[in-house]
Amino acid sequence: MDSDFTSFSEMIQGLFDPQFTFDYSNVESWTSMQTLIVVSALDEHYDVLLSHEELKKAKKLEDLYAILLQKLG
Amino acid sequence: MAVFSVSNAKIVGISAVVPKNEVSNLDLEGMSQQDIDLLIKTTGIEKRRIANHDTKASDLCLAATEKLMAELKWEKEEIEILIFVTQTPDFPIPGTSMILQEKLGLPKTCMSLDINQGCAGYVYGLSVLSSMMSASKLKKGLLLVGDTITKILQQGDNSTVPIFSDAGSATAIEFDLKAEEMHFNLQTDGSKYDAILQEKGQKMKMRGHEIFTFGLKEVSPNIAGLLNHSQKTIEDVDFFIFHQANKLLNESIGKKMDIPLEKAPMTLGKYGNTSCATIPITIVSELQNEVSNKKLNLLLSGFGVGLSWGSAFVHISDIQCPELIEI
Repeated sequence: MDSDFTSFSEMIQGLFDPQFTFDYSNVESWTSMQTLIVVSALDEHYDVLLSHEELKKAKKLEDLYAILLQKLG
Repeated sequence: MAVFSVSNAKIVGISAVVPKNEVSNLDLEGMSQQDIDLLIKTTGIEKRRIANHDTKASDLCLAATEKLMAELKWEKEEIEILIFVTQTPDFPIPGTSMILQEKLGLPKTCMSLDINQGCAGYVYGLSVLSSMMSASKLKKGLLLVGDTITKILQQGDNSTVPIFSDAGSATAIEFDLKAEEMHFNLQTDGSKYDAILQEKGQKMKMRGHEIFTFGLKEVSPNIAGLLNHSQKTIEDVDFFIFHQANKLLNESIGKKMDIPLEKAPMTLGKYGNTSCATIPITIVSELQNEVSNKKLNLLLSGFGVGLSWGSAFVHISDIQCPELIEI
């Protein structure tokens, strides 16, 4: 589980230009564009589509990962 | 299922018009430079065209039609049907197609019809016009598709203002017994009608996340259904002309379907999301030489407000396609 989360976290981090100054692990702070980038990546990597309401439930990356696992069943 | 084929109708010309007035997303107010950079990178939209106060969608389509009819050397008296697709009509009542019939000087024997459609409007309009012409043996018809959507945006709304742009287009169709069949796959989900909504007396609002996930979920199966119906493959398609809403979305759809990037031209950077006009704008802007001189199979895919979405497989052969017009 831990290593899976590490891979997930690295994948999310890799989506963003390192020059952008923002805390990628703080899901609550994501802008709409950052959210779309992640939603697209989750669809590509996990075949899971997250709604706006589902994303709103996540404050941190760990929460988002838990939602993802729940969707994956 | 609304999956069907249309015989005896052929596209013979496409023209498109944008307003001269160009604005840049680099100049957006109320956003940090980092957010602007990410917006441009994600949506692909750097520049947009904004019609001036007095220019309506019908004016843009009128200019596109006059140019196309001159190139085709069509006589006004020959036109038997005109369809105007828009969400920004001149007036709530009457329909704008009647006003265009008069402004174009078309005869009273020409039928005119408005269709209220947005992102999928070009595909829907093409299906209605070609079907009517095929069924009724109408010889020459015009499909005018355009919006001045920027007029219904709330200034400062960063979910819509940096995205939308204005444009008009005209497509000429002829009845032709030798025409290759067009194929269509049209769909609707009215349960999400309010994902893009303009209520009476208000500006248009959009839930971008919902539209984005809808596109990711629905577009590729729709296209797969169309290809299956028409017994074609991805390899049979020379170019995929997607509705231009968001670069990331179009790239994601392309990846899902293994569509090479070079087969899916984009105009988002130059013209933004011109609502129902994105497909003809992309054909005229990016494929003018190809459609004017070659035989091509095009797959057109529109998706958005409604929710409505649809795709069309059409054969194009040496059509009239004048350069993109600026007015």
